[in-house]
Amino acid sequence: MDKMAEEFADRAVNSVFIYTREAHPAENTRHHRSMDEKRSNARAFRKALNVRRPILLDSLEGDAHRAFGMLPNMTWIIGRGGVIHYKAAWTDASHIAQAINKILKNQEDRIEKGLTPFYCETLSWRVRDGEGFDRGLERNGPQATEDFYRTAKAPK
Amino acid sequence: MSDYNYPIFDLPTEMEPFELFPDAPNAGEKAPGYPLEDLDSSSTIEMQELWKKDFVILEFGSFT
Repeated sequence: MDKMAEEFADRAVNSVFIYTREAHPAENTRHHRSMDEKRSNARAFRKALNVRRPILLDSLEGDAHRAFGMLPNMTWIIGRGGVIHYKAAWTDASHIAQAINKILKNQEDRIEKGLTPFYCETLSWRVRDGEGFDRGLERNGPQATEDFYRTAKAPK
Repeated sequence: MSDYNYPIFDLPTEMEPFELFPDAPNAGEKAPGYPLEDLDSSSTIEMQELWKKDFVILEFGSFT
């Protein structure tokens, strides 16, 4: 995501990472009981994953996260003035790059070609990175792996 | 304190927001805005400032 963000930075596209609650709290990355704990985990996250985009912290109770749907790894593209252009339940860099390219092209062509927007929903697909996900759980600590696979198998 | 910052992950509970995601604001609508804290400067940034002049890509997430 950082690489993609840098590719679009000179085309008037800002990119930020909004740090939420910890999705899989465990021994190495506990849940947040204070903003200080949230700041501390966010700094550790930036260092561990070498995040180069600005990191912005949501409130302790997740006001922004809740308002945008409270998913653990979602991405939105917002246009000038605040109109939502893209809403995705999951973050997929190549999908986002395609979307922002289309959005910028439509903006360029808008007047010359007489374009007008319309609402559209599609179901998109991504490559599931199971190994990467498991490594993320392990990084947070054994509890993260245990909690995820225990509750994934639990009867409803 | 709510259970927003849960100490133990529970998959069925955390799948619920996926089912409710269509209820979140949709494309074409105005994005909600809240104050955020810049990790570097500790200053408050209103989300509306992020998209005042430019497009902005917002990724929400945590360690995992």
